[in-house]
Amino acid sequence: MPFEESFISPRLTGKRFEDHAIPLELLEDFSALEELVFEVAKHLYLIDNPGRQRVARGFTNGVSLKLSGIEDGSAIPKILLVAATLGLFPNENKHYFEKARDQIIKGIDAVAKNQNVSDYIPENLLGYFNRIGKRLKDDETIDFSPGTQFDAKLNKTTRKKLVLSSPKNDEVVSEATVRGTIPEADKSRHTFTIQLQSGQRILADLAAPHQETVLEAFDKFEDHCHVLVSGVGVYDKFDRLTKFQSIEHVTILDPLDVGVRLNEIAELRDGWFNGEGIRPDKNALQWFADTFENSYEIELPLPLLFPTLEGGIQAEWSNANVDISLKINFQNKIGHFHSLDLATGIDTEHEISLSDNEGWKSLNTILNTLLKG
Amino acid sequence: MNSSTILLRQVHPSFVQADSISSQVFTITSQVFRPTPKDEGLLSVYNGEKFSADESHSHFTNESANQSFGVVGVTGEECDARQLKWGEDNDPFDGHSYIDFNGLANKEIEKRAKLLKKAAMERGWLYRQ
Repeated sequence: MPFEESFISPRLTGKRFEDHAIPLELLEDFSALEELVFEVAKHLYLIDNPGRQRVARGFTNGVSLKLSGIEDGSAIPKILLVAATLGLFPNENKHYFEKARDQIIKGIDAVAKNQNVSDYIPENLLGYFNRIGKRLKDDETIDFSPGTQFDAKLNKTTRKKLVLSSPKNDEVVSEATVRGTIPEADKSRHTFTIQLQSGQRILADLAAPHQETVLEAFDKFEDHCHVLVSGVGVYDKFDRLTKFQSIEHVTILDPLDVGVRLNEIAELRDGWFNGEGIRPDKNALQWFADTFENSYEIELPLPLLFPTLEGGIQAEWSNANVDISLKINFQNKIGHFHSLDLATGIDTEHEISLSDNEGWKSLNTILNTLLKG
Repeated sequence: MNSSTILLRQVHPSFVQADSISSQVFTITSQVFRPTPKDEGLLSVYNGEKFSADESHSHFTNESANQSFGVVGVTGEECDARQLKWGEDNDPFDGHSYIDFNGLANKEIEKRAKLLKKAAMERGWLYRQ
């Protein structure tokens, strides 16, 4: 019978975990956690045995961390410490793995409290946090010690601090999604360049699964063909994406893609309209992008989007019969709707709240009637 | 000037989208034909008898703060049909003209801006940078 014992049960919180499940892509993170536990355990062993150059033979052989189940709240993976052979763990060895776990928890806690992490985790091992939690989203946290006195919560902020606590690390690896054009593709070097709206260029590997899409977008560069590229990116200390470590998806975007257009509008500065015009607030644009993504009916045509002089945006739809505009005020999240029947000259106007589902439902219904009816 | 005179309007780059889809298709926002607060109800246009579209673009962008993607236009007759007064005031330069939106409620301004946009888009770009 293998030896097994409950080892750690971190709590994952965030929208993705509310259904008490864990996305498969996060399992990779727990694999990296296992490696970190082993390395810290080896480090502790060598401290206790200063005469030794390396750990005892078989120190980690047959030992692993295994996911045995997921408990509610939001999602709590139950991780066991398992050894393949009964009796592999004389007390002193098992102790190193448990102490390693505790040191990792204290290290994350130290970072959260702006204390010195290297008191607990050697600096040369902090790079493991470039793998642990790399797919965490803004609203997500892994609490490695829920219900204790430790604040061992790994999120985007603490993770960045952990990685950059080592002077050897100047890059943070994290999930990345960008929109851009492809001005360069090199088949011989198997690379391509993504140009962001800001003008920044990012070099990426041209892997076979994405080659056809990338080359199509490259051919249509002059037509401003945009792509959505997602994968794992490398960021500098200033949160600037410098390169892609791996690319998972490349998708050609609709010419009217809302995200691309909002990125363009986000680049405007005060006085953008020949000296007039307020710069749109980037957080407000992000709010609109997220709300639009979640609330706008997918079958409807995408709107044209234009900045307004007041710092808002105006969405417009038109066909041979009708010209529709929705002038959006970011302060109160109200849209001023106006439609003009181009044949009769009859126009209507009213206000729509865009901060609630009912408002969006109403907008979807009206657009369906006017544009499709 | 007469009713067939084209009134030239500069189009800000941020007021154009999807132009690249086809040279035949372009879309500008109705805001192109909405006076801004600085206009005080009088939408600035160029007298097409004194400026070609190209010349109006050069004249406009000669001011460093001014940007123009291109030039569209409507005739005096098209303004008349939308009950909009228009004329030449030669201020601040010879050939400066206006379309008068004063006295109109927001809804009426929006309606007329859309109708002028439609007429301008049917005419197409008179000049593109």
